[in-house]
Amino acid sequence: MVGPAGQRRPQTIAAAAIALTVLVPPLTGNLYYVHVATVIGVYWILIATLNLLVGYTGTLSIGHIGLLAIGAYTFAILAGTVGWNSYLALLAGGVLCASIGLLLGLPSLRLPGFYFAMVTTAFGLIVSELALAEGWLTNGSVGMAAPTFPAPFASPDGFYTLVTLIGALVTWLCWNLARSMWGGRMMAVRDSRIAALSLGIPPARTKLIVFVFSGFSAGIAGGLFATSQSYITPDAFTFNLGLYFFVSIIIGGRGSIIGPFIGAVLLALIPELVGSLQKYGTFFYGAILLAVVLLIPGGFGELAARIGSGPKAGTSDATGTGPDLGRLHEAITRL
Amino acid sequence: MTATAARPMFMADAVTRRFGSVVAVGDVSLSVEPGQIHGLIGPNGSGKTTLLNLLSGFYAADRGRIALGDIDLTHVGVTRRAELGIARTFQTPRLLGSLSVLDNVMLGGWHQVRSTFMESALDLPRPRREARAIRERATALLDGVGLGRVARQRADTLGHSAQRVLEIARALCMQPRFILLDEPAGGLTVTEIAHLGTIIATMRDAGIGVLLVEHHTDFVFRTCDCVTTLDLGRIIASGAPHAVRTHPDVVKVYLGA
Amino acid sequence: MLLVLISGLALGALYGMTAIVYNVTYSTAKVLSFGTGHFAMVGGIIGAFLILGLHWPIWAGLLGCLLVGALFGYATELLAVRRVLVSSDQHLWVLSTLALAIMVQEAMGLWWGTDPTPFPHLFAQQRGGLLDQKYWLPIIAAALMAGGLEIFYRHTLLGKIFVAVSEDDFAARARGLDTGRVRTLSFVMAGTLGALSGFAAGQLTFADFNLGTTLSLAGFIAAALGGIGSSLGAMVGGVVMGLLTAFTSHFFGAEYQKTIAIGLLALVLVSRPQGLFGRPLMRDV
Repeated sequence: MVGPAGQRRPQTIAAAAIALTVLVPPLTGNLYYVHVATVIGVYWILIATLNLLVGYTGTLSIGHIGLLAIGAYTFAILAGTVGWNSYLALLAGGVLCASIGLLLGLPSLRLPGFYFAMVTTAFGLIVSELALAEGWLTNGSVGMAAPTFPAPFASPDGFYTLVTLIGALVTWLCWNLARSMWGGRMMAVRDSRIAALSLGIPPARTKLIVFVFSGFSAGIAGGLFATSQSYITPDAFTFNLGLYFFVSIIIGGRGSIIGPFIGAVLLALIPELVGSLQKYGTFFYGAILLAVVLLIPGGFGELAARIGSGPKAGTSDATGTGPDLGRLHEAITRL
Repeated sequence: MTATAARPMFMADAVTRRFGSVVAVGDVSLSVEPGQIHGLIGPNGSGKTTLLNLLSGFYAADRGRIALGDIDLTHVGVTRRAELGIARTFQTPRLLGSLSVLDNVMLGGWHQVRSTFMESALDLPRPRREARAIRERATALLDGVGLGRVARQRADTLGHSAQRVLEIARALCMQPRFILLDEPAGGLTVTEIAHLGTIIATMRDAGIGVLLVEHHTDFVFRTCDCVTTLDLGRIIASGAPHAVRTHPDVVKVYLGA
Repeated sequence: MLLVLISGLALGALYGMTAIVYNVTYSTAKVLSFGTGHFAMVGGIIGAFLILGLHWPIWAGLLGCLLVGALFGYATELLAVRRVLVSSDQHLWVLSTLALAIMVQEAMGLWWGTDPTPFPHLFAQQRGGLLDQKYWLPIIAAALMAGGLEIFYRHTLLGKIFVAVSEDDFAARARGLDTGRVRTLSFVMAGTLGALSGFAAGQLTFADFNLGTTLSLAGFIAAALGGIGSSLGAMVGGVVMGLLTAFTSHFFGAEYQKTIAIGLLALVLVSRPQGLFGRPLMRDV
């Protein structure tokens, strides 16, 4: 996937800038900054792949918070209560969430988008209710402690490094997908289901594959989230947190990877910086979401791309050249 | 190998489709041969687009049979028909405006991709190789239809006629055996129609069977090897262009109404 | 056991009314608003505020509550639907109505407080139990709403215009009907009816800012279960959902209230998306 002309260089610069920013928190020596950066990193592991689902295939999953919770509890139970190896427990959370994604998505992704949004909303509600109800497993509202990872990832800086490494890996996978022919395939499903069908691209299967992938990464994010909080209760997985995932993607821009990343960082930092905003946080998310949908449906990412790229819609008409029939014949007939 | 297996025909056999009490297409039989341009004309609401949707699989037929050679397609879905070599375009081009012109054409190559999601995510050699092959074909097709110079632009920066041609190039990238064009000349200038005619003729010469649904009867009679006329969902004439053109019912439909 | 039955029916009536509100907007705009349940939430809180807080008489409280509901419906159409429908992007209206619903919910939480508060009795009442008005009010309101809508659609000019627009938007426009205005009116009507349902069920649900999302979900499941577009189906779907909720929380405990009802019904929907009574979904080219 080549993308619109002249977009590559700014993206490389942005990637380099992000790589540098990631190094800053440990250098400050302030543990609180490292913690905030770690949590944002964990969120990003979920958001990066949710972005493929929401931003690229146009499928609205509101229930990813439920997957995060399942990943977190799986990790806390397996690595804590049962005593598994931390990495194995982390992986188990990912696999479990991927399977749940398959079970949820298989029947519901065939249906119009609102159905899937509602099915995932229901899933989120059910998970939070069950986390509270199944005390024998989750300790109910008391919550449970989450173990850390073995050295060298045990210290706050070490754990931040682990999260950064996994985050970079996930970003790399998403980046490859977006640049490969999958980028076009996902966007075809989003923008024109009918065109996709006519080209032999099955929309439901495309969404399902992406949903399972994002389920896996949400499960991994959940395990890391548990460690980052050291103690989890059902209250940690609020609808508002799920909303945050969603809003970062929409304001960052559909069909962009860096946009949602910047969105995720900014949205997480603003309430940290402006304390008074915390109370109004959710209202603020709703307001931003509405404003973006109404004013710049493509998100800031697309806005930036539009300002950056030259010709506007419909300006460069007739190519002036007629068809080259010899070349055409050759292109059609060769195998 | 028998002649039918080597060069299968694409055909509809006594196909009927109703919407409520309205018979949109009634008992229509038609066949397109490889290397043939088959025109489909008729006044507004005569069932042309419905027939095209039946052939491409967007609508299911209430009665009748659709087949590609020996393969019965009647109950086969749209994506499977695309894989079997039935390509189509739309009355209003359905392009992906935010993708480049080249990427739009490359989408046509998807059903030949064998590499998996994870192979693409890990950027392994196979998906790269496949993408390269499809990109080469797409580039050649774009050069062929005259859009080579704008390959890197966003598709929504193209004008109307270029968008129509781009959609045809995308359909060709599927390496189809048959291609169904839904009013490709709509809104085109005389020169552009002439270019379109040469592109369609080239497709035929390359062995593709073309079904051309069109309003411009002149263009159809000039371009096609065989013409079918629909009125109120039924065939009123079918055969060689000159015969259909002078058929009394066709004359009545076009001049009388 | 009879008490469980009647509370299930009352809850079902509320869900059924929410489902009907979905139908009202879906028929004219083909939009399912995420904030459909929030109409009822606003109705409950405004009703409680006017009657208990400002000591208005009950009739005035009801009127005021319906007026606010109508305004909310109008605002939904104006802010979250009108502009978005033009862009023809299928999933934008899901986002915009979700965003508006969240804003209203949070605004209510900040203003009213996050704890559910009691809703006033509308009639003097000696005894609770089976005859408690908190059960009968929503049931009566639901019956009136379903019947009233039927009369509206069949026997009034405006109702017939609504039907014409819902059946064929394009043809209605060709005949000179202002479909945009019909859409606005249908949202105003949806807001009013939603507020009415929240007012009628106020004593059952309490005035709770958090009610909206659950109700949007339950109402949608009820509507989809009954086949979207049918008032009777909406009521049947609502009652099934309500009874299921009441009986599961009776037998398994309140902590499974949502899980079992929502889970089971979501399962039905996913396996039979057209609902129990509806026709298969049509998809256009």
